[in-house]
Amino acid sequence: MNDINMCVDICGVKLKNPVIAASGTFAFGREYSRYLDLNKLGGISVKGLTLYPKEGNPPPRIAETAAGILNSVGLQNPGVDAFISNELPYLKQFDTVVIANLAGNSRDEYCVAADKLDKVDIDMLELNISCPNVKEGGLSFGATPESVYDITRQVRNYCHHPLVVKLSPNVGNIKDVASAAQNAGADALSLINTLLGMAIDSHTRKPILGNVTGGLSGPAIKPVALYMVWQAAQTVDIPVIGMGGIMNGNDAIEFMLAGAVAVQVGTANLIEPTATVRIIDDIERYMLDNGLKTIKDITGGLIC
Amino acid sequence: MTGIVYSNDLILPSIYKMGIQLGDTAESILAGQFVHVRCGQSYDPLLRRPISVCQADVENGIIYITYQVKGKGTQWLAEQVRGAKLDILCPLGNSFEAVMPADIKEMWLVGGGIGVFPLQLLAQQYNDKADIVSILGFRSDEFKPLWQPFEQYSKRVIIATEDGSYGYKGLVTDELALALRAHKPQIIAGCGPSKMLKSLAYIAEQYDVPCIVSLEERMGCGIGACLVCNCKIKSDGEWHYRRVCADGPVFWSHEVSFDE
Ligand SMILES: Cc1cc2nc3c(=O)[nH]c(=O)nc-3n(C[C@H](O)[C@H](O)[C@H](O)COP(=O)(O)OP(=O)(O)OC[C@H]3O[C@@H](n4cnc5c(N)ncnc54)[C@H](O)[C@@H]3O)c2cc1C
Ligand code: FES
Repeated sequence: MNDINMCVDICGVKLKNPVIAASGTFAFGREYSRYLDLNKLGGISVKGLTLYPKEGNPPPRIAETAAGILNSVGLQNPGVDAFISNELPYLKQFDTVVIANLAGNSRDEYCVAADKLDKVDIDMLELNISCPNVKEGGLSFGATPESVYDITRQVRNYCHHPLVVKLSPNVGNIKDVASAAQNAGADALSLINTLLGMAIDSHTRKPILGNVTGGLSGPAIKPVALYMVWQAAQTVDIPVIGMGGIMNGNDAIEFMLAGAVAVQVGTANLIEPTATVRIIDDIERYMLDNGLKTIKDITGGLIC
Repeated sequence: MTGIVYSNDLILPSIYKMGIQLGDTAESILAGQFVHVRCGQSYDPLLRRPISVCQADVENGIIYITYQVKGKGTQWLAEQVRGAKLDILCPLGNSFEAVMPADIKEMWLVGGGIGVFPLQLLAQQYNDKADIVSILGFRSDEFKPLWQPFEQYSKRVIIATEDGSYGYKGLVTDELALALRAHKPQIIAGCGPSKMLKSLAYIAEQYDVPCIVSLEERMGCGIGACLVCNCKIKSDGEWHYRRVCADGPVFWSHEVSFDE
């Protein structure tokens, strides 16, 4: 037995450890239950939901790049109602924090969907204003401090769950958008979503992705993500959840040192279904090796 | 799970056949299913590579894959020697059996080029239950090692080559249409390039023979979670995107939209 406590508290929600499966890489958990015990996870951020079902973009939707992947799924999802009736009851069987990730095409759509989710037993709402793969898909809402402030305020009116705003890295100044989200009433921030990118086949002269452009994730974006998390954490007082290319425990700890109270693991799940639990074990071992008792002993501990 | 490389032989220029020791799991793999292999420990290549299982030696717990070296992933595979450890997810995908009606007594296998591999396992697993006719197309007679394995499991093997160096000269789908004029089997199972599958689907519909096909699409997770491996599937006049890795790779050909 050891007396390490891996719990973290994000605006009143208790997570048994700081590792959350990232939206879009974990579906609604079902597929992963064959590989790992979902009860072990700090939380699950479900596939991005929209008010109405969405088919998403034409194939191919994935291209591999050096140490990264580009995806252009385009928010394929069954819609908020189907999530509430089919997926949420499944997720609620597990002792893990359920985060509903919400995207939209318009303010109204965001608000109507947020209102529906307000009436059900999710633990947190993650406002996705940073999906690069659909025209309206939120990215336009996440692009400037003004638009971030506006959509956060609107959704806040309908959302009594803790509200996490997921920020896009495709912005001029991350500090300004982070402040805007905080000022509009966000309880926490999560960042970064994918970076806009593209891949070209030089033989066919065609883009590899059916949608031409996509969102870059994976180890390739980690330095950018770390920098933005560090900047955001210095700017706001609300908790910051860090993500972007976390593949192992050490990566996760780097994000926490930069100021994140918790982390999300995305691309790593695609390569190794058990990545989240391995990362939890890695963090515990790091704490043990370094004589640390709580996650607070890591968060913001960067020396510079 | 961990698989151990049992053999890895060059059978044709740039085409390898690899035996992988999987223990009891070998028995559970059905034709049409695939393995998702991590090619090395580094971040480049980052994603796993999906490869169909083409043969199973259940007694010795060994499965076989045949793959063409295309890029980084398959190049890494080609460099592995007996005893090397492979990080594998399997069995993945729905299989031919999951789609096909039970009690199939007569099945024609239609394949082209390096797309014939899933059909090879289908022939192996069904030859004691059904009469199998394999109708296969290749560029030339050089590809003989790819059709030879079908001979022991098929009542008849019909080969078409594009250059006429073996069998009939022309496309495999032309041979199929000819054969269908004489006789219609209970079911056709197809696998190959999407252009070939498209004309296979058309011919099967013309002759009113049920037909199932195995599709390929670029993949991420391979387990049904990331939704990147989509294909268009029609039902009741509507289409929806379905996951090739988890809802497929095997679908009824009349449900597949080959437009894209
Ligand atoms: C279900 C399924 C079964 C397959 N079975 C076989 C088989 O039995 N034998 C065989 O030789 N090949 C098979 N393939 C194709 C094989 O997966 C690709 O040739 C391989 O991934 C190429 O990887 P690479 O790193 O060598 O090439 P690269 O070109 O470097 O690959 C770059 C990216 O493109 C993807 N990719 C490239 N070509 C294909 C393709 N045709 N289909 C899907 N993804 C592709 C890769 O997975 C990778 O993500 C199968 C594909 C699928 C989806
Ligand atoms: S590859 Fe992830 S859903 Fe098919």
